[in-house]
Amino acid sequence: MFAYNFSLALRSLKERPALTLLMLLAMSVGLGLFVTFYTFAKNGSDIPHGDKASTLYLVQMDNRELSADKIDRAIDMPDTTYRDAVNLYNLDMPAIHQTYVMRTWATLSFADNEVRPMQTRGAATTADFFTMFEPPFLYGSGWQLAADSGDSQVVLGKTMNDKLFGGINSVGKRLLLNNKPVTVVGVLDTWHLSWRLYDRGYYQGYPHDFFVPVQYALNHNLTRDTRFDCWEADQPQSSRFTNQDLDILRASECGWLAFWAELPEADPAQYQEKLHSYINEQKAYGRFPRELQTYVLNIVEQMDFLNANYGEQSSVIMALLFYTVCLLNAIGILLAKFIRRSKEVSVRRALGARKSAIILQHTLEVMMLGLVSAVFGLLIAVLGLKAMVQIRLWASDYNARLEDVMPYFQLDWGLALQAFAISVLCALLISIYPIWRLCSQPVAGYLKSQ
Amino acid sequence: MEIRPILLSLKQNKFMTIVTVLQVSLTMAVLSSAILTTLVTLRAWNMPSGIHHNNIIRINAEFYDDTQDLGAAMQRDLQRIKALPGVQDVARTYAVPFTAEDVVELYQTNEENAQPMQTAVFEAETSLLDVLQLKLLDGRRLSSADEVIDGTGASQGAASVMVSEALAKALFNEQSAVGKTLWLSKGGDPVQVVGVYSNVMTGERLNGRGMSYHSLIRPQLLWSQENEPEYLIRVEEGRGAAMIEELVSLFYQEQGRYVGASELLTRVQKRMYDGRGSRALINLVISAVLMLITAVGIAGLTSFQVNQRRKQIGTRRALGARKSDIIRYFLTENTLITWFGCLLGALVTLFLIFDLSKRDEENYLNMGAIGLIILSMWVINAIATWLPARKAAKISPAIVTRGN
Repeated sequence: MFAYNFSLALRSLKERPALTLLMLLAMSVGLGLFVTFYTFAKNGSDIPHGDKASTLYLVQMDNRELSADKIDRAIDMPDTTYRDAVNLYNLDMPAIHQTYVMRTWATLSFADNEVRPMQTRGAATTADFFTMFEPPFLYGSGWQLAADSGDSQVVLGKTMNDKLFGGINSVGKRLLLNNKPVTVVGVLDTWHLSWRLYDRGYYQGYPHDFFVPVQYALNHNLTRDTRFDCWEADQPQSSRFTNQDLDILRASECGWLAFWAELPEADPAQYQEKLHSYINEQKAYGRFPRELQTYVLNIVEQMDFLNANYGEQSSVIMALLFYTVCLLNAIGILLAKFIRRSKEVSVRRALGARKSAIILQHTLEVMMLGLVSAVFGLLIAVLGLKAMVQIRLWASDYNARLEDVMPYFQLDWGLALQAFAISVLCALLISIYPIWRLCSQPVAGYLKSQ
Repeated sequence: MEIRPILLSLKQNKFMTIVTVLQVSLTMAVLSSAILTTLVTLRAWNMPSGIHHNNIIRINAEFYDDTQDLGAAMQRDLQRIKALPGVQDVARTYAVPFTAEDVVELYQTNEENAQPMQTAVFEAETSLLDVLQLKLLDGRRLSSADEVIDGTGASQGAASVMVSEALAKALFNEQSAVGKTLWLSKGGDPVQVVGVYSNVMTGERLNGRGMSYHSLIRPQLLWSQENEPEYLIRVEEGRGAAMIEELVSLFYQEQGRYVGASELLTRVQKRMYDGRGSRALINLVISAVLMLITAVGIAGLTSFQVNQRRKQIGTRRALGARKSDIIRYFLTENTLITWFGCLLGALVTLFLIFDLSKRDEENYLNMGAIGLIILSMWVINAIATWLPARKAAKISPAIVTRGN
């Protein structure tokens, strides 16, 4: 009986092929667009740093003057001052590891000038950064703890290693960073992060090309490519801190470092308590004049906020609207197709076919439609995502690199399966009314005039 | 045309009517939000730049090796560039058209309550006028005697400036700007306007404030190792793209140097509009596809209804209706649906657009455009109806005489 219904369904798809094609077109274009935008939005909202996301905590404290505006959200908090970063790092805090990160850029070159010098972005941090954020290493490793004192060592990103050394194992090799020799101790593999949070940069698709010890960066006056959250009185001079007045900056109340702690068992309460007692001690030196305000938030919590406020929901909603229009279109055509068949159904019913058989036949037909449109829809999505990559590169004026942008537009099997399910489900949904109409007409109505 | 029978028939086909109206209104909403935002972007795109940006190359080089002598290197740069065949003019400058975001507030008097006027300042060699081929409209050209080029940090700034036509008009209206005194900051040194040049696009910041052409050229280069000027080079017509690499290799002849940007000003102009541009492009493509799908869907439905109503149409024909009456019936029905759908869609659009306008601080609302969109939706849907309706008109009145 199933086979019979199946063949009937197939035959009915073949009749009036123009209408069937139209319906397929609408459903697959709608699905294709929806999957394109959904993929992009989902990949952009992935939580970076995998399993460690719930144990890595950004530490923020409000060290500003009394007259400053009240802060309600962690994202508006100032960064950490150099004094507090060093103090907390050296203090016996209840954390497994702690680190701090500064954003910078520099020119990488060779003494023989064989490769053209390249200016690129990097991060200055401490050895524990690599233990905490676990970037994947292709060769070598992060620098040793001892090198935190300011050794001339560098970890290169994969793209930079490809460009400078042609992708070979460059550990132990030397190059010039801002014209001063440094030694490569490690080379990262591709490290895709949906959001770059570790330096509070909030960038998507611009990974760092090199990492150096923060003490090295300060000793050699690498550009401090960051925002300085200073007290009102210091704010006018703060732009000078980019490459001048390091000593003033170190002693100042200007926040500019991202401070991180890895906490056991995702329990920040103990850490926060210790942080509060540190701040209270500092009050004795006339610091932290405001009411106690600190945030110790892990990456998962930060991502929740980012996704809620800076996600791509608007595109997804638009694509959803688009899909809805396509489905409405399909309902109309389906209804037209089914009602044409009223006579045939009446005959079948009159000859003893049960309602359930009619429903089965048409449900099968619709499911086939759903499956086929899912295949075409996914094809369209693949093309759509390819186009989106090009648009993204064009929009970034080719400053973003293809390999960095690609991960945001990658369709994975899970998503593809979901798309199939959505397509079939939507096909069933839109067929409810047409099938109901078909089944609810009086059997005799169409037999009369025959 | 009698509308009542159409309304009755729509009422009979309630479900289909609602589905079509919803479809039209959602299409209308997506389409018009996309077009309204794109229009604003295009408006900025169509602003004339005032220069031949296809022939002008911008190069931004920087010494990462601070032991190099920048002053001597720049002299060698200029010699090398001028010696290159195809190069017509070169100027060192601290501001580049389309990305001159350094906005200064200048004053006409030195009094406490003086009103500020926003402008972009081009600190550059006087040859900038040649590179950009700016026309002299009033007064005299800046000469090398006005130029202050110094890397010691000891010099005063240049005392003479030229202003753009737009800035002169904003400051002095009908009066001539020549000979007037300006203050580039409150309590700062005064400068004298010696001439007026033709307008040139500044950058996104002033563009967004409706002051796209407010600029001023101050003939000074107070360079230092940390603050190197950029180069603007005008080359022979049509050789712009071809000469970039040649020029870059000239700059790499100096040791310890990195060349950051090397591009045609056309590319800088493109970048000025990128963020909104790409979004507008995506939206536009989506809306075009959506409109097509809606139109095709309407064509399909009409064709179905024609088939459904063969008998009724035959009856009407037999009772004396002309072919045009039949076509007009379907067109009127579709018009009612389209207009009602567009009305709903326009409401959704207004809602969306007000939200967007608030977010982007840009007035996207354009009633004329909404009207045009409704009109074109109507035309396209009418065509989508007319094609199958023609078939209906061909139905012979004799069909009534058959059994079914």
